Amino acid sequence: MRCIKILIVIGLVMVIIAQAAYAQLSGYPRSARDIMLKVDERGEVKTEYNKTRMTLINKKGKTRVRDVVRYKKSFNGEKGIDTKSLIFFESPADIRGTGLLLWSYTNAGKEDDRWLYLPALKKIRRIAGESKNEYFMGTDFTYDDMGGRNVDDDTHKLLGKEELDGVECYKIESIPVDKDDQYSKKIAWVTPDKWITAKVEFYDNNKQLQKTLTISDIRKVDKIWTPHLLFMDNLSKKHQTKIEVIEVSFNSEMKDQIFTTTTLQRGRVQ
Amino acid sequence: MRISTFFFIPRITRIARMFFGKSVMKISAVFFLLRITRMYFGKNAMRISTTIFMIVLVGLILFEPAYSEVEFHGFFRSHNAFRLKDPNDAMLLRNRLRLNSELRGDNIYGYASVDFLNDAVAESRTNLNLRELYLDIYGSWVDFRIGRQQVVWGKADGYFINDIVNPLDLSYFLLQDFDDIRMATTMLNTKLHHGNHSLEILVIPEFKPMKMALTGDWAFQRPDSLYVSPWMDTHGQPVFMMVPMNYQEEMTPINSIKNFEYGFKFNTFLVGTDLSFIYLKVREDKPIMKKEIKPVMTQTGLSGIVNLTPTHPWINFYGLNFSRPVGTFVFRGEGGYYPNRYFDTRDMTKINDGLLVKKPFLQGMVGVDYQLTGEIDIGVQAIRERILNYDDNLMDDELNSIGSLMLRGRFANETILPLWLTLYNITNESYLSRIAVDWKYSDSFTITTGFDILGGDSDTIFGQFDRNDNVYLKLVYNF
Repeated sequence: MRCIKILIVIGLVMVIIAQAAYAQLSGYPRSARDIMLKVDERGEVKTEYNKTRMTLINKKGKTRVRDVVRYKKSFNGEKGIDTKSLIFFESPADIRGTGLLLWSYTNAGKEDDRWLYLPALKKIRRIAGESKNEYFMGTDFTYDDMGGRNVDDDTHKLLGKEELDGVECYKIESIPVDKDDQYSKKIAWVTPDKWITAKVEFYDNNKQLQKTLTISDIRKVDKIWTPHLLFMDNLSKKHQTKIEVIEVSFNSEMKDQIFTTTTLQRGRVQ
Repeated sequence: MRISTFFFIPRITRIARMFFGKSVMKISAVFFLLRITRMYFGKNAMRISTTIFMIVLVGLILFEPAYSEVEFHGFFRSHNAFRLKDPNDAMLLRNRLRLNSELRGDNIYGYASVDFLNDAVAESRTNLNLRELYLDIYGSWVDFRIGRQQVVWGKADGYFINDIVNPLDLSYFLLQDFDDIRMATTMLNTKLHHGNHSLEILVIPEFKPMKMALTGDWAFQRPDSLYVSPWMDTHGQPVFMMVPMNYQEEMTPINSIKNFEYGFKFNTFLVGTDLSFIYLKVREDKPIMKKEIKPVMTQTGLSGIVNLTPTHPWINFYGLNFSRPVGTFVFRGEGGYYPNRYFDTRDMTKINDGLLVKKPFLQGMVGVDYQLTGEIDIGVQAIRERILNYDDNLMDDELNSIGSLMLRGRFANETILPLWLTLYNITNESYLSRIAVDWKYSDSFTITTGFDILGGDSDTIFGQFDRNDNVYLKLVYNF
């Protein structure tokens, strides 16, 4: 009898271990943080190139258009560097050649290094890494919204599952660890099949809904599910930004030398 | 009909862009070639070889298979300024059409920029000005930029300490755009780069002096007499008198290899800090007035006249600059040291040196930029200049301290851009203040309106233009 009990306990322990191992091996998320890690890992590629068109829409419906190219390379913690990105504006004419170089670090406590090149001044300026709340070149995306945010910069809570456009999504609440963050919380809808955030609600520090980001037109590019349309509705400013991905490629050859102030000052990648 | 129109318009636009792009590039190249030829050709062998070098450059630009894409863009800008003080006249009615052309290849890039200027107030009403024309050749560890270009090495806003490679066009003092204040110079710019380090080496065969207005609203004050003691009396005592001044023609160095200017800048990134070290062996862009006193017999007796000849002596310059973010602040600074810079003196023992003495000169700036809110930036700078080994005979002050404040806003998704910039000279209590607002009506069209206010005593850098307070309107169409 005692042996049977021992066998049952051992059996249960083995089942639990097997479940845990299955969950680990299958990549099945166990918590809200796991889900957000899956989202974060989905976009993990060695390099990324994309060309996007940003359409800025004011409350009268008047539009302004920016064409942007972006190069991004992952350094996987080499010398403490997580990723380096280089962004150039190709249009409109008055900001053509404006470039932004961003280095982000694996150490969550270390601020990004940022350089801005302004062709009108022919000068490179350092930008404070902490100014993540600043809106990016007139769009409704802050530097922080544009990416590079560490998963552990927020505490995540699974609110349950909710259907969005016919797909049952994980609904996750993320509250910034930093009390001075621009948002009080974010609520994200994550698709479990593609691990893509299909929608995000951003709440300001008065806990009022400030912006809504909707992501659609998801296509597989180089075996990676890639959103091709992002739409940010800034409710507080009554302004909207649409980002259409015109061209995108992953894991192509990119030299480290691209991500330097030398290339930034050229205003283009040869 | 609609479909065909829709189909053809982009094509026609592209063909027009290609045609004009190439034309601007070629016209610029030929224009540049003619100027260089006029400058150098027929003087001596060296100048001919420089001409050949330039012909090769222009030939490369004209050789189309080297590049794959030509683009064409620019702007039209109407800049109108009116005096705020009596007689409230028009100070500037200037229209500028800028045509830029770019060619792009795999490892090659060319740029040409031409200005067509029309100014209803200025003496030279219409001008065609080749601003820049250069060719870039990119390698894996070395880049070359050959041709007429601007080189910006400074970190300061609105002040030039390290940013002295290109001469300044001060014909409208500091009130033009910086891109227009800096005059492009022909040079070979070689950049060696490896990781976060780079070394820029400049060889500048062309000398251009600083451009200053001699007449009109923005003419710098030039004294018409000098209180000196050119002779001794019969008792051996100096005789002081007010002597009239006579400005001679500027002595600019001839274009030859011994007059090539050169310099380098080493850039690095250390522990989160951008650092640069600079050395330049160049000629003073600002004219240094060599004085020669000639005796003149007048009805009242022996007097004199001072002949002033603007010269451009050699100078050595050592500079450094840095910038580093700390939290939400960005600290930046630059320093410049001239071991021997020429200054005007009253010391009559220096009469054989043109009443000039060499003194070490030091300049420095520290500044901080801070984002007040997500839409307002503030920048504060403290600038200090000092003549070392100072003596009381020098005409310049030993110390000069300047403070600057810049507030810049980015409202309504960067369509309303107010600016307030003030430079205040603490030493002589003079100031320049600009308040302006850019309204980006569309991606192409920007309207700017603002005020420039200058003040201080009439013998100060800003105060001499006290009468030039103005309100202005700029209309810019980018294409």
